[in-house]
Amino acid sequence: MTQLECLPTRMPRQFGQWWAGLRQQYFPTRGATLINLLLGVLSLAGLGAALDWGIFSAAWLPGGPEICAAHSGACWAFLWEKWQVILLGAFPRNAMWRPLLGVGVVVIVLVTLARLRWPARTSIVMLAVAFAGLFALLDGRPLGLEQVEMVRWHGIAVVTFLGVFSLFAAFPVGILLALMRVDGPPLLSWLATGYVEVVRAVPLVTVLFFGVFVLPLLLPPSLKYPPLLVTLLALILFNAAYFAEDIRGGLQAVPRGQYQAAESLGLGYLARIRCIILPQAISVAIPALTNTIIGAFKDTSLVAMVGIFDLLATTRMAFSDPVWQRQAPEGLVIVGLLYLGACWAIARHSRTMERHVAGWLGNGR
Amino acid sequence: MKAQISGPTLSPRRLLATRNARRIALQALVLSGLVLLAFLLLRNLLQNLHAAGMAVDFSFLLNESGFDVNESLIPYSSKDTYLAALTVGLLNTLHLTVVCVICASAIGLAIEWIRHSEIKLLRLYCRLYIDSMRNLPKLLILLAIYVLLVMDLPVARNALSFFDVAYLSNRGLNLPALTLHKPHIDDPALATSAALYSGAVLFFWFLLRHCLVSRFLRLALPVCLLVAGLAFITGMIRVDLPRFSGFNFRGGSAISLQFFSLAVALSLYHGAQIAEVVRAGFKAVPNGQDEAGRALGLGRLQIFWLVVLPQALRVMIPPLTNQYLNLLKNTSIGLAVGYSDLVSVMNTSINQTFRPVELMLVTMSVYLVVGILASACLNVFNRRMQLKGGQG
Repeated sequence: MTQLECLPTRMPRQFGQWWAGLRQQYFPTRGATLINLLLGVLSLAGLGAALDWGIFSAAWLPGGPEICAAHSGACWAFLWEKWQVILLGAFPRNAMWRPLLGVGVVVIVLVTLARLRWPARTSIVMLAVAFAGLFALLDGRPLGLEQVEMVRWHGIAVVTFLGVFSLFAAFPVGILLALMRVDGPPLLSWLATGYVEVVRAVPLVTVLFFGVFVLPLLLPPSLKYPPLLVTLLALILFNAAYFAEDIRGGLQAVPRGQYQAAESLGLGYLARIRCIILPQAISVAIPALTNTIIGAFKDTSLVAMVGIFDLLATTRMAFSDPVWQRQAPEGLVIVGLLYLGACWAIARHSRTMERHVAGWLGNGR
Repeated sequence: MKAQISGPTLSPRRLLATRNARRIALQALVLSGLVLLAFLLLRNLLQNLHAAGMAVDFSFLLNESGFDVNESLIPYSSKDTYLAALTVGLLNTLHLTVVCVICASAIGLAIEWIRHSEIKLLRLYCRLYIDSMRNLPKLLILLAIYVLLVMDLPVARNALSFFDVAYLSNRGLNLPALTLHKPHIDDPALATSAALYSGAVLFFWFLLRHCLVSRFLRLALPVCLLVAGLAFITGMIRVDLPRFSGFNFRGGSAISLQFFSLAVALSLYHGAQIAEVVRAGFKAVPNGQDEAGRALGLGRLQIFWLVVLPQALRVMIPPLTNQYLNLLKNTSIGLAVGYSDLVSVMNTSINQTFRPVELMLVTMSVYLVVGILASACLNVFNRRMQLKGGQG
């Protein structure tokens, strides 16, 4: 009935509906109208000020710090001057194409896999290749290029290296921990519970300090451990505990009947878990996993505290240059926008994945 | 017959034939693997330490630390021990956590309240705030606030004044403080006003008896009013206002810029997350409860305070516990702006003594113990808030 009425939508009617909707939303009562108008004016003023700062009164062209004094708004000359420092820190200038290409390859692989909805085997192979490729490009030796020491890997190279690959390596560990905790024999279940609870009770910063200061002491003394690799290990161990908790929730949401049905089909334990239980558990856990992934990706920025130059640390490096000290807001705004964009993309993709799995989750019930 | 069975029993296939046997074998395997790993790690640790001419030894904690901290809640100087320094750090961490828990909860509740308002633009602002906090790293938020404050705040001489009571400058925030003095009760005028005040509180208590507030509040509110009011009237507690004199502020209580920016950043960051928790809690209370409250003739505030909030709290407490524990852990980013929290003191101590193993053990176990204690307390609170068997 209502659908039929709505179907022939002509311009005046649509406008009328639009106006009615607008009135209902913004001007329901006299008081709300007044406050809405007041706030509207205020937010327009705020938006105007922001635009004025970022665009109209900004110094757009490259130049020295003296150009900033001439403009009242943002000084994008800072970015012209320092974009290499912000993106790549102290990576050798003549080899800048290497991290940029490596990060580009990783991003393309991630987007492709997201489009393909993460087919398990392809994902493992492609991510391993991407990781090896990034490592080879950054290090240089495997490709016969000039070596760049790991301590000079900065900026987006570090964010990609740590943020992306710590998450992917932690995922299988998290699955293993969750399985151990939920239906492992008592000893394994107890061990996994202890590990997950202890790791979740301490701050990431202390785990990173543990990685940098204590982990090298626990490993054989004959080898050298660059801080970046040790940090990667610490991040993997840390994120695995959080993943384990999310997947455990998913495992507990899989109905008992699914386990019994799989068993009655005569499937072995691994086949049961791999083909029947895990797909459902991970699908249920997508919202929780998304929260963890976004949180962990953001928290990669904490590696700056143990002396690793991630994007935030390189930005700080850029605006701690005495002549550009006033340009801190510009740098922070740019980094913030990069993080906002990345996290927004993850959140959007998670909604796509939720719709994607809704089909088989609905059938399972 | 017997020989036939005992022959194949020895083969591993036969031994692992049952599920139970496999489980036991797996546990034994994992246990032995772990013991081996622990042994290897410990051996490496001892070897590495031995090569550096050291051993695991906690006695250095009682040595003189030799470094100062920026701010401390207890008296501390560089002549005190490492243990004292770590205690100062822990107290600073807890101080920051408590302040942030209060502010973040207030922000979360306020956001939830605004979301129910009929003013669309305010709701939009809330959405914008929550989304940006969810998608930005906390370190970035902290740095942005800190850098902006350092850059743009005036020097102490030209501090921003809030009604001449509080001052904000690039040295920090100066707030009025309450100081204890010896009460003087011999003045008859004071005695009269104290008696008058007591009478007023008694009258208030009588009024409260007819209001719908909980039994605890009905007793606690007048008692608190009485004690606080009498203390003020007799001059036992006085308000000490900060004043600028010479080169710095005198009197009042000073809050460093580091603490201030950390408190603002963490409260904003966690306020957004607590707002989501609060929203889920209020969503779980059926609309009928609100309507029933109105049918009984309760006011808006009474419905909120007596009907909706207790039921929402039941749903909210477990995720809120999680949020508060996260807040405790996240105070460790204080190191980035040089606030002397536990991690920062630990970092300084490690750099001075190079005893990372002991210091990391101490710090991590402190976080573990504080976290377990906090979650145990909140669990007790949770159990008290849940419905008892008979009432449900």
